[in-house]
Order: sequence, then structure tokens, then C-alpha cells
Amino acid sequence: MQVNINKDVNLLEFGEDLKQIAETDVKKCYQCGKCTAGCPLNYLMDISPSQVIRFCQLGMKEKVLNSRSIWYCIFCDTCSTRCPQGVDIKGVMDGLRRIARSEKIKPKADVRALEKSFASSIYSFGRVYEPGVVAGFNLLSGKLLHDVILFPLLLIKRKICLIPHFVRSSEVRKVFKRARKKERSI
Amino acid sequence: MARIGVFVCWCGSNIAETVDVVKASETIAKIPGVVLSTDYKYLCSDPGQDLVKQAIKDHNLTGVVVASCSPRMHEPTFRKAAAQAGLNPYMLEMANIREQCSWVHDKKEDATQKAIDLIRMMVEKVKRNKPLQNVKIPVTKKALVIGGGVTGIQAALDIASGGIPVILLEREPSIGGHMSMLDETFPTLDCSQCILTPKMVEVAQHPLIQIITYSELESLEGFVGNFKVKIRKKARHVDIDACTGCGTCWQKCPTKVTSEFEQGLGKRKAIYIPFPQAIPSRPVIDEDHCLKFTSNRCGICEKVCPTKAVHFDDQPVIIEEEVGAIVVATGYDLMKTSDFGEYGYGKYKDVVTSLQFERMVCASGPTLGDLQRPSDGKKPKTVVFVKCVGSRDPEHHYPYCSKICCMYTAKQTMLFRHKVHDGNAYVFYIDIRSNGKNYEEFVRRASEHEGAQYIRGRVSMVYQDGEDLVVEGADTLTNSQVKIKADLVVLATAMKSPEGIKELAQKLGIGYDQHGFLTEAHPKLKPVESSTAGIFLAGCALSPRDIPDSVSEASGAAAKVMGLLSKSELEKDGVVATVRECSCTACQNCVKVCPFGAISLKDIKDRQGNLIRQVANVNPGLCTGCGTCTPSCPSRSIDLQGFTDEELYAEINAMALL
Amino acid sequence: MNYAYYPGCSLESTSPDFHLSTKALIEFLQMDIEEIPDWTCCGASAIHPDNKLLSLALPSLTLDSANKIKKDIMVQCPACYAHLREAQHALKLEDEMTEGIHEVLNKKVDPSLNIKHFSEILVHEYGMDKLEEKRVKSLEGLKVASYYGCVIVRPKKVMAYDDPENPQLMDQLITMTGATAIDWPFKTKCCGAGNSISRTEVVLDLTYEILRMAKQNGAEAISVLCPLCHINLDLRQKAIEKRYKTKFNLPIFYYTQLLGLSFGLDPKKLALDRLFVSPFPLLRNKGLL
Repeated sequence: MQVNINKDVNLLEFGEDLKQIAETDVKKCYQCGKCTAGCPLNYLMDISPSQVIRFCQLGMKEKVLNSRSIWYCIFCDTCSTRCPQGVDIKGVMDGLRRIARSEKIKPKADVRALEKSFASSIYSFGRVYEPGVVAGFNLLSGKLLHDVILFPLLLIKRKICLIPHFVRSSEVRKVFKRARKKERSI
Repeated sequence: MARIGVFVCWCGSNIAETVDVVKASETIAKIPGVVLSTDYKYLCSDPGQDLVKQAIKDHNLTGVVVASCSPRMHEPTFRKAAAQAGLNPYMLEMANIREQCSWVHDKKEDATQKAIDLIRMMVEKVKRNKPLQNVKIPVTKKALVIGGGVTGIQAALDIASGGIPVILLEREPSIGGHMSMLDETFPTLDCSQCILTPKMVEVAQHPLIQIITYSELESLEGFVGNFKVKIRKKARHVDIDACTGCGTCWQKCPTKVTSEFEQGLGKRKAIYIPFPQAIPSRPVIDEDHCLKFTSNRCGICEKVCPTKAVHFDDQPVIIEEEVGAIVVATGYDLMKTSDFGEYGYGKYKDVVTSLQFERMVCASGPTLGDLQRPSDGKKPKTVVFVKCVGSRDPEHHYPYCSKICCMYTAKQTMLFRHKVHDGNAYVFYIDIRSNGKNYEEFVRRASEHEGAQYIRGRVSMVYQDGEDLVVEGADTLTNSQVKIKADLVVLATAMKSPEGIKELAQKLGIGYDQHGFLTEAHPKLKPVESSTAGIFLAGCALSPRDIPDSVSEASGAAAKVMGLLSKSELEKDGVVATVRECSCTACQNCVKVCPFGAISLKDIKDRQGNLIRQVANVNPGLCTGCGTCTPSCPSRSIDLQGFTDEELYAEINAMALL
Repeated sequence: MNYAYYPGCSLESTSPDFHLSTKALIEFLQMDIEEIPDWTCCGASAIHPDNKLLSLALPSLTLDSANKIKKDIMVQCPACYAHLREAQHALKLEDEMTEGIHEVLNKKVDPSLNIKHFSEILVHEYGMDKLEEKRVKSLEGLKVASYYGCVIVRPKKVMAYDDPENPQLMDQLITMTGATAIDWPFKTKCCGAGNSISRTEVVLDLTYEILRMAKQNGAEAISVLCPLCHINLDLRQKAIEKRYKTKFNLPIFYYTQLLGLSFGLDPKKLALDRLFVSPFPLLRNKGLL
């Protein structure tokens, strides 16, 4: 990998943007690696959490926004809790996902399928209608038979409601619409 | 008749670029009383000073104003020059036309006018200045060293070598400090006790050094050269003079207690000496664990002592001493494994601190140098050393670097590999700080020749998985998570200030920071002085440092002490407050406001010895010339020499009136 | 001790055992806790990676519901707990985001109410002594590993629940029942949480470690307080056993179920029959049924 830094470039700019979005300062990271050491999903990531922060410090946006890592983070917060400098790595991952979305970068994992399905359930019903969420995920991700075997098991244990509840759904829908409109304009 | 000489300095371009110094000196020359007004490029230089000295003689000057930099820079320089020329040094004042004029303004015309005003103010002041004499205070030629570790020991030896008696005060039962707990020291791998105990013996045998152990400072009064200290000697319950150190008592004692010296890895008795080479080699009784004190049983030691040296009825005693100077060498403490949740909060027996590891490998340690896992006694084959535990961690513990861990971890990998030849030593590090003499070479030796394997990354968690300890770390250089199954984990925990340091500092009246480390008067130029005159600092009491630095500072502090106590009298600045007794009503306002307790009441008696009245009285030894008393007096009976009301009033008038 | 209970979507659908056992306890201990009538989803972890404003606005609706009935909120689901607290924090800051939330909800929400987890209310308000008085059957002999999961303890500043490295609240409750709360290192190691559906293999890998470590430290059962952890450890236990070719047979209880057992409540009322890994053999073995 070659990094060329021109004279009129300000490497710190991306970090300052992240400071606004993720409410944490990546400049504080001194690359100790404690976040990487404790990350339960590091084994599936292409760049480790400390490397994600390093690329942010160097302003290498494309590298992080196109990585798998930001989509594999499960937000367990082990990294931020143990970081000696108080950098919120989890927050950075979260912020990078939002930036990726706003720049229309395709996510490198199936998370969007679940998030979309989940969100549309709340949008429709006000609460999460789990069979709908799973069905929606299966459709959107193309994994049509995923977890299908669990359906009858859950039915037997009466752990599934077949009928969705509508609770304040019109109000919730308005909230969704207004929030989506506003966030786009931010 | 005032004959004032004014010298305006160019200071190269520092002043002259913004202030028209020639115009200023010409304008000042016109003030009545000024007989000489000139300018010069660098007044602080030798020729510059000669110019001033010659002018004093040639023109019979009664007062001098040097218009240049801040008096904090060169007031002593010019005052000394004036004294050499025969003029009382307090008749020389400085007008600060640099820090307070040329350095903070840019418009030449305005800056020049301001400079002229500043100089005129000082001219008017100097006209009213009175010649003052330095205050002379007597000095007690004795020193107190608080802390009996290697730093305190070195300071005591150096001060005593200058012929000054020293009291070495230590709160543990023996001197020696942390260095006596170490196995070998970097970068030479000298046996720690072998190089320390000769010094300990030297201290014990030195005719001018009095060792007082198992004691603490109770209170301090007085001022530089004249301190009165009270020392609380804890009840030892053993008569040091009668005791021969035969050891019968502690052999017979039935009570076993976790040994502090062995860092919790071994046991001692309730009557004990902390280690075999302890000085004094006389035991103490631990009242919290001795059966006689907890349940009025046993008492075997008293019965078997051949010289009847055991006395259960001993009480703490307070002794008083007078000393002229104090050195504070109170050392450090180390964080414990129980401070770290991610490493088990101290519940894993095989997760130890670096100091515990020293005891484990030390030939005089709890396992006599046979390296064993504390949990099952087996020999550890894989040892993981974790650096920066608690250090460089502003979020949870301490923001600073503990300085010595990089070096002693390299050392400990070598000590381990010397005992377990086929052992694996892994070191998790963020940086390697090895900036002393032969330090970098020492660390390279650990990894290049002695088989230490360095992995760059911090450790997130350590936990027990069956018989093994699992260390979850990272290698940022290859961007991997690194999980190691280990037999033993050694944490290089942070150095911190010792228990009770804040209370001690408050008794001494010296400053400390938010971590309890003592504050030096100037971090670069006064590294062994506190901001309280007569009290010096050395070693880890200031911040984490290694043995060479601590010993150097001990000698530095000792040199300062010897300089202070080499004279029979101390000369102090003549800028002190004085009381006009005829108008003083003894309202005690000044007594109450003086931050240094320098003012008290004096009795005025008639010829028969009857008390007529009291008046305020300033102790020139304690007075620092701060001037707080002056505005507090309703009858204007107290005034600060060198900054009297009349002088200051003249300054203000010179500036404000036409 | 007047609270409004916010069960959250999980407790209502896939975790009715948690919901029912909680209600059983509330009834038995005669606590003044009622379900918020018109509660809506908190958004969980699905909204905030997409739209931060929305992720704070949705839980704010619940704060508003509680305000309307003038009660403090009691939660069981850690994710709901976290999102309610984050919304509360954002509202308290009174900055641009706060304005955004108010705008999107078309109303101002007062954030000054209290939000507590049921275990906190039990330990700190109801009191351990009073709980012990209610105990009729000691669960002595049962070795339980308390598993908190990651959400309820982190981030420490937001959740302010307990020590993220070695929390003790649930352990205290377990000990009160007479069972032994074993000491083990993975109390707060993440189980994979919401990846249960989208990346099941990750969950299997992570929960395998948790089950293995619990068993290795002598656990005969695990007690949880998070519905998602429960699904991952209970519903998926067979899949984990298959993937790693091992047998665990570790029943996963909700802490409310264990408390209920010690209070002598009917196992059916505690929904013990709805657990996938059946607890009955173990309980019978220990003479607790």
C-alpha cells in the first residue's frame, strides 16, 4: 500500500468530521491494539478495529467505508470500554455505517437486510412483528430457508404471535417519515 | 539630593524594535534628579554591567534604574553589580520595558511613550528607596531525611560525608525500601541486595547518621535553617539496645502472617524482621496479629528472649528534633492485580505483579529462587509479560508512563529464561522506552540473544481456562488478535504515590499534584527543590524514575542541603515587613492575614516589668515579603520595606499625574 | 416503588417466559408496577446504524408515554434499557439533536424521569432482606452461572448498571435464592446479540465459548437477564452442540424464573415449560420440584 500526501492536503479533516458524527476524537488513539485484542468479531474482519481508527486518522475514507469490518461490528462495546484513551471505537463503526449509507456505498454484509426488515416492521405496526421480520430477512437476503425449522418449534413453545399488533402505528409512521426527511437534510 | 542614573537597554532588537530607546533615554534625562541617562545594547553583558558600575562611581549615583527585561531575569545580576560599585543593592530598581512593553505591543509611538512612563515611575520610586540590609538567620547544622529507600540512604550518606549529622526516618521496620525486594537490577543485572546492603551497613555504622525506623513524621514547625520536627515512634515492643537479633522469638512465634515484603506470596511471624538483611536487625511486634494483643494469649517471645528485650507494654513515643534542612525521599507504591477487572481483580493466583515476580525469582524469596506457579507449585514454561498495566490509561487509571517497566520487563524475561532455559517469554508492549545509558542495548539483548518474544499490542483480557491462563492480546504490526495459553502472567503495573503522602506533604507545607507526586520548584532548573525553602525532594516521590536517576537526585538534594548548612548564618532578602510600633494598636489584622505565620504579638513592658501594651512583631526569617499585611492595617503601622506606601504612591503619581 | 413496566417487543413475542415470570414476581411481591398501555418499539440495534435521529426519537415516544401516566420506567430488556437511556441523555443535552427529536415527534418530551432495571429495583429498593423473607424453597445445591451479556453493563457511563468486568447484581439475587452463583470470567462476553438471525454462525461460535466456560467452571445452569442472550444460548444450544460435536445440556433460566422458584411459585406460571433446553431433569435431580 502506498500513501501519497500532497502539500495542500489536510489529513485531519476526516477525523474532525467523525468527531461531529461519532462524538469521539480519533486523534487520541495511540494504536495500542487493546480494542483489536478484545473484539469478538475480529476473526471475521478484514481490517482490525485499531486499523480502522488508523485509517480514519490518515483520512483514508475509502479504505474504511469499503471494508467488511464496519458491517461486522456487533456493537458489544468491549473495545470502547477498555480503550485507555476513551476513544469510542463502537461509535466510529456506527458513524462510518451512516456515512457509507449516505454515500450510497453497498454494505459488505447481510446486516442491511435485517435492519430493513426490522425497521419496516416497526414502521408498519409500531412494534416488532417477529415472523414478519424473519420472513422479510429471508426474502431480502435470498436465504429463503434460513431458520425455517425454528418456526414450528417456536409455535409449539408458544413463543411466537401470529397476529401483529398495531400500536400507535400511524404516529410511529409519521415519526419515521419526519426523521428520514430531516436526516437527509443534515 | 537624589542623583539617579538611568540605563535603557536595547536588548538587541527585543526592546529596540518596538521602543525607541534613544528617545526614551533622552526624555528621561530631563526629569529632575536624573543626572545620567543613557542607552546600551546588552546591559546584562559584562561590559554592560561594567558601564553601570563605572557610572555609579563616576557620577556618585544615589540610585539606579535599569530599564530592560523583567526583574525575575536579572535583578540579582544588577543588584550585585551595584553592590560591587559600593551602592546599596536595594537602591537599584528595574523598569520592565520588555515583557510588559515591547513584547506585548506593536505600535512604536505608543510603546515608546509607555516605556517612558514605566521608567519615570521607577525613577520616582528609587528617589524614595531606603538602603536595606539582608536579614541574617541562624542555621541548625543537622538534616532530616524522610524515607529509607536507596534514595534516602544515598542522601543521608552524602550529607553525613560533609560532616553534617543526619536523621534517617523510615516508617517500615527496616530501611532498604523497594530496592531490597528486587532480584537483579538493569542494565547490569547486578544482584540488588548485594549492591544495596553495603550502603545500608554504611549508614548503620556511620557515626553521624541516626536511623529511626518504624516511625513517622508527626508535625513540622519553623522555617529554613530552623525546623522543629516531632517524630512519632510506633511501639516496637522490642528494646533495640537489649535485643541481640538472635531470632529465637520469631522462631518460636506460632502466628503466621502474610508477608508484605514478599508481596503476599510468603509468610512472616507476628514478631518479625521483614528480611534477613534488615537494618536495624531487630524485630517488631505486629499488634494487629500478635495473639497477646488480639486475645491476650501466648507471650512466648517474651518468655524465651534471653535478654528480656520484649516489652508488651511499649507505647508510641513522640520525640522532638531540631534540623536545618529536610530531604523528602518517600518513594513509590505499585498498583495491585486486584485493581484490574479485565485481568481478574486479583483472583487468579498465577497473575502476578512485576514486584511479586521479583520475589518469586529472588534467591531469598518465598520459594528460595525456585520459580514456581503460586497456584500449584509447578514450574512455569510459558510466561506472558504485560506492560503498561494502569499506566498510559487516562480513561481508567493513570495517564503517565511509569518509566521503568520497559526496562525491568526486558530484565525479567532474562531472569526467567536464565531459570527456565526452554521457557517461552512473551512481552506485550505498545512502545519500548529505553533511553538511559546502555538501556537500548539491554533491551535488544533480551530479544536478540535471550529469547524474549515481543508482540506489539495491549492485552484486553486474561482469564483462567482449566489449568491455563488465556491472554487475549493483539499484534498491531500484523493486525492480528493473539491468544496465548500461559502458565504465568506478569503485569507491569503502574507506579503510584505511596499511602499517606498527601498528609505528609501537608504537614511539610510542600506541594503535590493530582496523583500525589510531589511538586518541584521548577521542573527544569530546580528539580530537587520544593517551593518551600529548606525542603528538598528526590527520587520516585517526584515521579516514576529508575535507580540511577534516584541516586543522582539524592546526591543533588544532599549537595543542596550541604550548601544551605555550610554557612553558620543564612542570608535572606531584606524585603521584609516592619512595624511602626508607636502607632500599632495590636488589632491583629496582620497576624490573621499573614499566610506564613510570620507575625505575632510582642509585649511592651515598663521598667517594673508590667505589661503596658502589645504590638505586632514580624519574624524576618519567616517573612517572605509578600505584602499581604500592609493593606490589612487600619492604622498604616506595618509597611513592606522595599515596597513602602511612599514608594508605591510615588510610582502611581508618576504615571497618573501630570 | 411505583413504576411503569416497559416489556419491549422481544418479551412480548419470542420471550414470553421472561414476560410471564416477571409478571408473576410483580404479583407475588405485590409491587405497584403496571405495563405502559401504548408502548412502542425502542428501535433496538436496527435503527441507529441507519438513522441516528430516528434511533433516539423512537424510544423518546416511550418516555413520553411514561410521562403521560406520571411514572418512572422499569425495564427488563437491556437493549430497551440502553436505548431509553440514550434517548434520555440526548434529550437532556438540549442541543441540536434534542431539537431534532422534538421536531420529529411534534412534541417536547421531558427527560427527567427515572429508568431502572428490574434487578436494580429488587436489590436496591425492595431490598435483599425482604426478598429473603419471601423465600420458601432454598435452591441449595444448584450451581448457576450469572450471564449478563454485553449491553446492560456497557457503556459504563450511559448504563451505570454495575461493574462491566465483574458485575454482581444478578449474582446477589441468585445467592439469595440459596443457589450458588459460581465465579467465572465470561459474565459480560458478547453472545453475538442481534446477529442471531443475520449471521447465525457467528452467534454459534461466540455462544459456544460462553457455554463451554460456564460448564468448565462448574455451572449446572445459566441465569440470564437479556432475551436475545437467552435465544442464543437456549434456542440455539442444539445447533451449537451439533456444530462443535459436544453436549452441554445447560438449562438457561431467566433470573426471574429462579427467583420465582425460590418463592415457591408454580413452574407453569413461571413459563419453565417454554424453555427449549428443558430444566426439569436438573430441577428434579436437585429435588427442587
